[in-house]
Amino acid sequence: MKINKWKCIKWFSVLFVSALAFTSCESYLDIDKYVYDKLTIDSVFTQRTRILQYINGTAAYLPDESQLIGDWYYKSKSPSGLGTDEAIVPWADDSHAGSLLYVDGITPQNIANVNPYADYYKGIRKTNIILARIGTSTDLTETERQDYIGRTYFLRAYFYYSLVRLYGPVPILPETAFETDATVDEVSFERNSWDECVEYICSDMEKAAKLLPTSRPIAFPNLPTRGSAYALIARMRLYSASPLFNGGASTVEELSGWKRPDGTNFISQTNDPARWGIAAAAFRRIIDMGKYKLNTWAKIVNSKGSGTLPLPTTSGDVNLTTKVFPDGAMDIDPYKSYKSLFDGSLRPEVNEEYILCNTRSGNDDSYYYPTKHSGKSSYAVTTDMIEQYRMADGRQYKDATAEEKSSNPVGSGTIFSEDYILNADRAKMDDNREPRFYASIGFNYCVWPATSYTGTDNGVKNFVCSYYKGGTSTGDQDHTNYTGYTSRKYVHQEDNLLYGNVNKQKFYPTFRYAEVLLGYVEAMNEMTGTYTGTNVNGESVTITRDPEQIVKYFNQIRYRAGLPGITLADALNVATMRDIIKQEWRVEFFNEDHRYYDLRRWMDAKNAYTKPVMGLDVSQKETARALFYTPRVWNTLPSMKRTWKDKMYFFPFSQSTIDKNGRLVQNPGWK
Amino acid sequence: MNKYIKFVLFFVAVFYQLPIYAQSGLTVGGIVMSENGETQIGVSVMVKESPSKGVVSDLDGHFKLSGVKANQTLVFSLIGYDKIEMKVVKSDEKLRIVMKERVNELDEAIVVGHSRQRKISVTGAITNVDVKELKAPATSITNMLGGRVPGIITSQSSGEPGKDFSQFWIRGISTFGAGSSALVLIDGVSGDLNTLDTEDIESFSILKDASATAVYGTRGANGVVLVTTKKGVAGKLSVSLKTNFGVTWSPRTPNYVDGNTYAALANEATMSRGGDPVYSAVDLALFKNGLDPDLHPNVNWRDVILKNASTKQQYHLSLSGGAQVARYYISLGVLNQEALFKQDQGINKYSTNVNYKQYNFRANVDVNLSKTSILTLGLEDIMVTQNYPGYGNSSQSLWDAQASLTPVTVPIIYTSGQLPAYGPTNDQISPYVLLNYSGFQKFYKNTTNLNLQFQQDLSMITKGLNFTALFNMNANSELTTTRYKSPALYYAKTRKRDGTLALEKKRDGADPLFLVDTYVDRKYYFEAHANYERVFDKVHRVTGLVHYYQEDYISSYDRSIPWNTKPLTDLTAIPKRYMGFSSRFAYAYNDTYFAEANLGYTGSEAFEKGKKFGFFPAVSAGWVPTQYKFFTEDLFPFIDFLKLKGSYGQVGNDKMSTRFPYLTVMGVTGSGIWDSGNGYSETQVGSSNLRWETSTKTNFGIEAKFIKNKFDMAIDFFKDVRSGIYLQRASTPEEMGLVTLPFANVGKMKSWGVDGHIAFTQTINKDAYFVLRANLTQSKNQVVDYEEAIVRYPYLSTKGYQWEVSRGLIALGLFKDEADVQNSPKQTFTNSVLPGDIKYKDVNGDGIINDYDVVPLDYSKTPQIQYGFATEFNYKHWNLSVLFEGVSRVSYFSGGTGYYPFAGREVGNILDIVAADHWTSREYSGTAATENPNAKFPRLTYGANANNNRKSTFWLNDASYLRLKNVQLSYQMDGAFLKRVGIKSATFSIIGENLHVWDKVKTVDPEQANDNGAVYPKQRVITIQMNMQF
Repeated sequence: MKINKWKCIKWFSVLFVSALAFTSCESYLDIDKYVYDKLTIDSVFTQRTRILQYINGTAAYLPDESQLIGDWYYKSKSPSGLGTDEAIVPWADDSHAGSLLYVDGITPQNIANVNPYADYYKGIRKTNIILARIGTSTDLTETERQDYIGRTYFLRAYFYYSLVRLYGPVPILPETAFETDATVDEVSFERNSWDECVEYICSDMEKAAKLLPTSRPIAFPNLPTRGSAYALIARMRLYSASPLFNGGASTVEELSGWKRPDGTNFISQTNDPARWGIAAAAFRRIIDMGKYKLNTWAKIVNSKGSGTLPLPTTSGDVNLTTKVFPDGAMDIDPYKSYKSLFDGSLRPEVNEEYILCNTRSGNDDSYYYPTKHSGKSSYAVTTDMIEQYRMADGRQYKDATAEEKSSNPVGSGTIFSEDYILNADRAKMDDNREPRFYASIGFNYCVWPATSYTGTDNGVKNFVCSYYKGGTSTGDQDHTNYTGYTSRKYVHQEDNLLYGNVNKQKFYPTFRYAEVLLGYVEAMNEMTGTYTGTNVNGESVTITRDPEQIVKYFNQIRYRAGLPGITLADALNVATMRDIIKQEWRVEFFNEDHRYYDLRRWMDAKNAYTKPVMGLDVSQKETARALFYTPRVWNTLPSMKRTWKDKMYFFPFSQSTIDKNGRLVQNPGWK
Repeated sequence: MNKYIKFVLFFVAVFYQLPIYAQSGLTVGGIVMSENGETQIGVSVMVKESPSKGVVSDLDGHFKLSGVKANQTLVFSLIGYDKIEMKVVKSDEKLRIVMKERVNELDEAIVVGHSRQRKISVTGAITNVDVKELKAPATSITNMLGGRVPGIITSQSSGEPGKDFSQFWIRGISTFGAGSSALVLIDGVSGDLNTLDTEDIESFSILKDASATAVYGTRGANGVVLVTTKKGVAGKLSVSLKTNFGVTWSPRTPNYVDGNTYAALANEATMSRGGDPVYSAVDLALFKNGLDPDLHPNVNWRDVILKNASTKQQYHLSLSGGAQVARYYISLGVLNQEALFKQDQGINKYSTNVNYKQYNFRANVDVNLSKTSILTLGLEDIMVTQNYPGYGNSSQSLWDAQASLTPVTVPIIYTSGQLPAYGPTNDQISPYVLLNYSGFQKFYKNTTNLNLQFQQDLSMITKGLNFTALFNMNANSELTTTRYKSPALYYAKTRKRDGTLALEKKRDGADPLFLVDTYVDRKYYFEAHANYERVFDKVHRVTGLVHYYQEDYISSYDRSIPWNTKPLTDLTAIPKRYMGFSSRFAYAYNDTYFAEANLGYTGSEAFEKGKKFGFFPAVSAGWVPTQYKFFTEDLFPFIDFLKLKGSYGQVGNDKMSTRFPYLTVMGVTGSGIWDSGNGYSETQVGSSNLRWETSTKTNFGIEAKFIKNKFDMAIDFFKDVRSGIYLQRASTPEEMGLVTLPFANVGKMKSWGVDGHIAFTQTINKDAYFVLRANLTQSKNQVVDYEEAIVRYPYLSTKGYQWEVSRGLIALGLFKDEADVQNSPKQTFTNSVLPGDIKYKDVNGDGIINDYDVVPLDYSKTPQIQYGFATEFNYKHWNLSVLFEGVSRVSYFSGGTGYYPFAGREVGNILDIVAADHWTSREYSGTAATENPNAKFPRLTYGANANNNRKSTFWLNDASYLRLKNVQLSYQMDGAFLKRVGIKSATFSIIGENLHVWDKVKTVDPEQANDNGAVYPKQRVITIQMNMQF
């Protein structure tokens, strides 16, 4: 009995213990065997390609600034495309935040899908992770490490820049990524001041500029370079020097008392003229790099009579016709020089004007193309904008003769720059305008060649687009062009949107050299004293307002466009020059996402938005041609009833963003 | 111990019986055994008619007695066992006599976690359900719990065969985390109550407090349901057969207006807001006179697709028996339920009616491997076959269609033969087409369950010790085959000039499409435990338990979120594993003082290394003062039994909506506008320091019997504080910049309440007695901590209020007139409001009515109180039982399509109460009398009305009800006639279920109030049933 008992004890002990030891506790529940070879954030930083890919994944949070309009299936991340006085669309709704903004339809509760805030901070977090870890990685060469760190600083600055451009000052976070279990209090930060944000962004960009290469291989034209870091600094400096951020806020009721909890102002309330010098120096640095120049296309001479349009000879600027670019335009085709920046004719690597670009998405295209080309033609450029384009000889449109401004048909057609077709029926008001008009604007009787069309419909190629009631491009009620003008800037003469046809890939210039020139001229024009800074080589450089330089750099833009230049007399008068510069910004950078911010920094927005929306009378049929060409006020749709409130200087944070961070104060005026 | 006593008794008996000698006559002999097949020594076998004649069973349990006369009675008796009398008819030496142990009331045992415990010593909150009470012919045991079982809150939302199960929560909802449902263990292994055949249930316990559930560790926080199935009992083959047949119908469906009334109301809806009438006078006349059934139909869609009644049948056959070596219980159950849909005969050769068939097979076999060890093999297989129309895997689309298709939209079929649809999408097709022309779908499910259990009595090591090991394998497989087709569908608005219908094709006919979908899962489970129970010095009872288990589960779909089954990923395809140790130590002094400690140490693969395991301790104590004579005899002579008990402890809940949230998962993305090749990014940001949610439970209970045991009651007061509820941090500042939101144990919720029951038994005479029973469960809860964005007004917070409390605006009635509108705060939901629209209270006083004025209202849609009362009356062979069930403190919002009139414009039927009771302007009706300020519906709107059609007290309703849930009348026959044909007894019953409901909802069943009639109604069932024992 006794033996038996011990046998039993032994037997069951063995059984029980083996059951327990069957798998030891932790290892039974351990999932390591399934996940050990999955990449973790730690293993990413041990491999060169993964580090690069992680930086790429961070870049995926950058906004696609080429998407300017928005639609029900894609949303523009910014209201800036439509929120200007350049054009209208028939809708002021959640898919078109810009339009909704200027009819005062945006509220913090309904920000019309413009809510990139969280995404930009996601990008910022990732840059902080990269910067914290990349230094220890042994798999990188020093050159790679420098480039990658440079890219990362560029990214962080670009995210902050994207934030402040839209929202004004934002919280600048500590440079260590937050723990995932941090309390709400630990990660709730106050907004910094505008100037602190700008300094932070510029400081990051300076670091980036030191590390980034000056050029990129052909395969990666969109990657940032030293020049693009400089360009962003310059733009930021120019903004900061501009009235809104340089004392002008004190004149706006909403912004004058806008203070942080510690009593300091979010936006400086006093004017600091030195800022213009800083900005000018920032632009000067890019000019001094000597790497960039305006894009030009050699003059076209052919026997068919479809070569480069003759340059105006009556303008009084002899340089224009007698000197080679950049001192004149005798050797270039101005239309193509400008057009090829946007229509995909040139790859970015051969385009010396591009400082930073990205592959342009075609999401907006259907709003430009005529219905015949499977578009909707509903992006309608206002008369106000059209009138900014000068006559071919440099006169202002308003100074043109009555006959020149008439609706009379020109009566004969022509072809220039090899592929630009002018239809005989075009109105005189759309004739004899500067080349940038033809490169940018689609008007009534504009010919859309669509030469790459492969189908059998004879009406597609060389389609003559008209916007009359019952005209050749009237969409349904929701897709009508209400002004008789649209944008053709991103349309190549070959292209159409019909199914099965391939369009040219286009590139969107985020920064191009023309901005550097114009920015430099603008900053210099406003300068009152002397500014001493450092140039591209780190040497001391002194800048003062120099009318000759103003003429020199400004006229590069003019000559490229085939227009007569300004004179030294113009450059001597700050106010005259200011108007000229502003108009040039408007025309040169039409539909390139500048106007929204320019109107605000110049504090011209109130004036611009409260003007009635003017356009041709598209309610008229072709038989009533004269009436059609008589501009009228358009206020039949909610999207045409523009208004201005000072709160619109900055876009509001979504209410949910505000509600999550107890220290984040809403932009002034937004409730 | 027992054995020695028996041994001594045997010798005593032998000594006693010596003088007896054999006589001529019949010879009877055989073996005497206990219920689990142990041979019984020393059983005295005597002839009743001549008490001097008798023998005692020998060491092998054998006995033999000769000289017995025919029709004499043998009496088998043994101390501690029930006496057995048996009439001798003929000689038989192979009798098998099974002695039933007489259970002392004190020794009555109930099932607790991992063992059985004497009822008196239970100090935790455990409801042991009398299985007899669960014998209604309901399709699922879950439907029987509400109103019958204290401590349970139930809700049944559909009456469709195969979906007519109840959700239930033990002590209400006590967490807002991912899982609030209880752990269900069938024979020790987690299983599905819905498909369990109620006839197979041997015991049913509900473990409610920490003391009872601590041994389940991270799985036990929401309570545990323990079910054991029947086992074989030694003895002759015993056969039991149950058959029933029921008729089911919908006692309550919403009443919709007919075509004519519909059209008139539609006109009022548009015209009362300045619109043009939808229907002309000619249209109205044609709807009324029915002369143009194509363009002016008037169809009651429910009549078209529904029968008045349907049937269901259920059969259950069980065999039980066995002897020394082995005992068996084998059962077979069949359930066949038809739904109410009326298929148009002659269109299809196959059935499209919803149908649910379930076959249950179970075999529990116990084998005595040795005198001290038993091997149990449990086999279970459940086969389910369901049939549906081809569109959708439930009848929901049919219910939606009948609720949304108005009587005037389309005819059943155009007179020219085409089938109608008013639009191309699936929800624009008539229920008639969906039912008859969309093909059919079959769903097959098979569940196989294998239990292998080994029990070893370890008395040889130390008395009172035994060991059990259990291995379980469970496999589920599902197959769905869909043969979907779609006919060409047309719509006509007008006629052509020649008078024929201008039919417009809305949808092309589609060739039959075949789809197949499969699902499998598999689980294995292993546990081993040692139990110890021993009494020292007659008064010190010591009980101990040590338990270990591990579980591994894998499925071919991720069903962790029930409403969102997802394909597996490399992470969700990792088997789910659990492991745990637990132990219990209990001490009882003289069955008067009890103390118990429970400890769970369980782990789950869901958490990161080093954080997988946690301790869950609980302590409890009890006192039974009635054990003292002075208490029952001197102090409280009317009290027969009293127990006070209390418990305190912690349990966990590891249910989460994501697998492995602690892992940072990387994945390939793009590089955005840089266009520089692949990007790499976190697709899940790991959250550090995650744990399970912890439930701290306190329970205090009283059990009592008084007035000669006529009253029997138990009441428990409980409190459950859940902390560390697992939430996704949706309210963290966006500046944190996390690609995915992390999870954290940031929620806290408390729930508290009471549950209890009382029963009163009264014997009237020897033939009659009756029982009255009542039970009640009340569970309140409050969110204590919840990570939420900054709230502008305290009442907008989730914190401090009941979880999912109804929230809405406070309605102040309907606007009287234009002046009333002008003088009231601006209501921002629509551009303008008119008299007759709902007027809201400006709660925050900011002068406008918007979402900031939404306040928590009274209750949630889960009842706080559920109660039941029942009576049972027995007279001779008759038995009548009646059960009422009710809930209260529950509210819901009327609303949604099907309730808000014309919210979907031309889509959506209109309730007849709209026609009867809505606000009509004097301009429209011509009289001010129709501007009824107390109307049930505001001024009609054709289309969405963002002002009126939103949650507010105007639409808030009370969903309390009292239901006559069950009435059962039975007659039991066990006469000589039946014996002659081999039937021991037969019971015939007629059972009515859901016979009446008293409530305030009226339009639909109060349990389905949220669905506005677009759901299979809860059924009323009348069943006839026959139970036979062979």
